[in-house]
Amino acid sequence: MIMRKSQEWIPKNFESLVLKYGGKYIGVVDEEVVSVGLTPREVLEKAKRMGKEEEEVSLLKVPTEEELTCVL
Amino acid sequence: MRLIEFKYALHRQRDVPIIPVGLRTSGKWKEVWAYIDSGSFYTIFDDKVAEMLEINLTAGEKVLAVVGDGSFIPIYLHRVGIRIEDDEFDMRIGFSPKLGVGFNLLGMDIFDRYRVTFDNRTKKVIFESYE
Repeated sequence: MIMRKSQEWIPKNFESLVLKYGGKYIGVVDEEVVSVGLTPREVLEKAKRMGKEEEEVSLLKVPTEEELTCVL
Repeated sequence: MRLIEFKYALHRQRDVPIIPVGLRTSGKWKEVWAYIDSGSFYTIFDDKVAEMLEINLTAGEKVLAVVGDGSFIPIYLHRVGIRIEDDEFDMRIGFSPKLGVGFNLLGMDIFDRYRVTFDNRTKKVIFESYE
């Protein structure tokens, strides 16, 4: 199975994603955030409007700094 | 036995074991990232993921789970197709409108299928299937 680029990119860029998108869902394709929203459905709909296929979008619920402090 | 490895994410030099998981009900696969939480009895996603999967949330079996502050949250259990890399299987997972953490959670129930190793030296989480 070929690993998606997003599988490497999201962990590598996690800290900056938290700073920029904490509290939201993001959609990532390859090495790019293609859409942002409050729900995964909203993120997928925006990504589709940008010509992306649902199945290529990787959805991440991005925690806030405060939520990370609680979990970790 | 095949090993599936995922690199940790890092936040302020602390390890964050998150991995991509495919989810499917009747339609297409959707990839959602989840935090591997060995302290959670159930795998729990927020109710917005159920909405995306077109799951009727409250049609599932309702259970209550205790969270960090001692309060109870409702969880509705549904059978969902799961995919970790190319390993596909069905599992009962929970969805909650009150999941008050910043992540969707892969809980202890996933450990029934995999031996899961948190390798802090190599900064990887390793899944080894029992099947």
